[in-house]
Amino acid sequence: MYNRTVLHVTMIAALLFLCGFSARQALPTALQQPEKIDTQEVYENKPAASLVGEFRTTLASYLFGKAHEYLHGGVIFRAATDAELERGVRTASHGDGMQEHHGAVPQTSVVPEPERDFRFPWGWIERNTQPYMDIRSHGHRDLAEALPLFRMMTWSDPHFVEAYSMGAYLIFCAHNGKRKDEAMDFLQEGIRNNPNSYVLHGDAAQFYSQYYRDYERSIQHGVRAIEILQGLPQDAYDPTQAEQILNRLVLAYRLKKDRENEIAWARRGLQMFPLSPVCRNTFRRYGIPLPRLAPAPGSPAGAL
Amino acid sequence: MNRTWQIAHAMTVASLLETVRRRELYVLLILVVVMTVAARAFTVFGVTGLEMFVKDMAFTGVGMFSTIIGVLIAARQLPEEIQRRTIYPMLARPITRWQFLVAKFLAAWSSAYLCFLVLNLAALLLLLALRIPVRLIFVQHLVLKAFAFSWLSGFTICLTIYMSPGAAATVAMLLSFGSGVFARAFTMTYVGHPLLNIPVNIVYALLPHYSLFDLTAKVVYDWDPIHPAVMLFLMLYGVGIGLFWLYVGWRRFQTQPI
Repeated sequence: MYNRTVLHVTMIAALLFLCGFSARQALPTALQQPEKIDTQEVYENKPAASLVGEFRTTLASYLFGKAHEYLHGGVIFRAATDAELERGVRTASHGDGMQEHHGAVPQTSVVPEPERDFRFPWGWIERNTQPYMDIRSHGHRDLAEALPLFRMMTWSDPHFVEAYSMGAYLIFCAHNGKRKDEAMDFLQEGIRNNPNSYVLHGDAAQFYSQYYRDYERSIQHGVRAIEILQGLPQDAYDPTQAEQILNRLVLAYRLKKDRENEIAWARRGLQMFPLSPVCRNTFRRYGIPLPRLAPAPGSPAGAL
Repeated sequence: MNRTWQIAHAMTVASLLETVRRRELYVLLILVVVMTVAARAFTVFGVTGLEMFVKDMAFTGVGMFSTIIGVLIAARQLPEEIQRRTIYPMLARPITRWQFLVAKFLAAWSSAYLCFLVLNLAALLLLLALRIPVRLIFVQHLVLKAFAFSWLSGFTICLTIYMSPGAAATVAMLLSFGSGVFARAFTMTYVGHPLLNIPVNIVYALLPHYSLFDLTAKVVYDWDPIHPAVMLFLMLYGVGIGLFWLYVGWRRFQTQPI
């Protein structure tokens, strides 16, 4: 009996080790950038990747979902349907100043709120036995609790850009900026693993400007982010994010007191985002009339 | 009634011995320990502050494995008696089929719940050894789950009367694990209508609601204890719905040629 138990435990441990080792070795994208190589191509050409490569990315996605749960004390969110939005369902918003992390689509809680729940008493029971809160202007648990998961998900999938972006932001927030170097190291690791990610360069530009007052580095990352954006098709990036990166770049030049480059980038920015308040304000500040620019053909980023 | 208890007691002991003999619990126990220790092992690589993750893994594992073992125990109660032909000498005694079924139900219920308690005890000791505390709601979780197993046992035994043991176990597992998903899909798609709400609620009560008894998420995220009225309601509902499914099974079992 004892020998059998030892044998079973040894077998399970060996299996786990084998799985972990294969997972570490199998995903060739660990050394290749997603912008340069098609993920599907990797799975087709590398037998080992098809075995556990998907597992790694799935694990990272699972941990990302878990991190969301941790932040909200186990309350689970989902995208609201069009019909629900028409009926005026409650949608998630933050009450503690944390930046949006619920995606572009309005989200609602999986457990419905009392006014749209026809189930009696089942709805009342579910709201009591499952984590539930009013998601309007909701707060978050201690952000530090979710941080280890971001470390694990980036180990699992080094190309999980959103994990690096949100993880670095949480390290800043969780410790009120006291561990900014740690957050920046995390972000730089993300940039090393994903040098062609405009999101991470954009984040680095923001953090260098906001927390370090290092405008030179902020500009370097901002310019790099714009360069990457220029090479992307229109549907491959978020225009709002692109505008934010551009605005930060213009502001970084302003704070660096580099008027010439500030105006030059504001001019380029208006071609892409004619209504950008930061770019418009640049011209207003220096008493320069707003340039009349023809709309950019094709990809807006191409106009830059 | 006294006679039913005597039969139930004998069958419960037999069921527990069978569970021990099959060593299913040992395997699940090892898996719970491995899951918990593996989650904790990340600290070796410099990832600290994983208390919640470790707790999540431990109790998720316990919940999942106890459901599996609960279904397996309930699914073999009747078919094995019939397959081994041990049901004949039993029913030859002055035992009604209802008494036999209730005794089987109680045996499955108590065996599954005992396994659940053992798994929870192992997880709790492991967590305390890792200096990860649990709050008072954990006690409510233990109590409430007893009534979840009432539904699980009654429902699975009922299914074994209508279908093969393998199919019954599969359907029971699907409905147990998927009950939360079905409820979500239902609340997403059904808008609600004043005239339909009452019948819909009655039908809804008969659907599987195993997830409603599950306080795992609240235990993991350290929520406060739930309202006693909710506990009371779920206790009554758990026993009631378990007996309801047992009755549905008995309707067929009483006339079924063995």
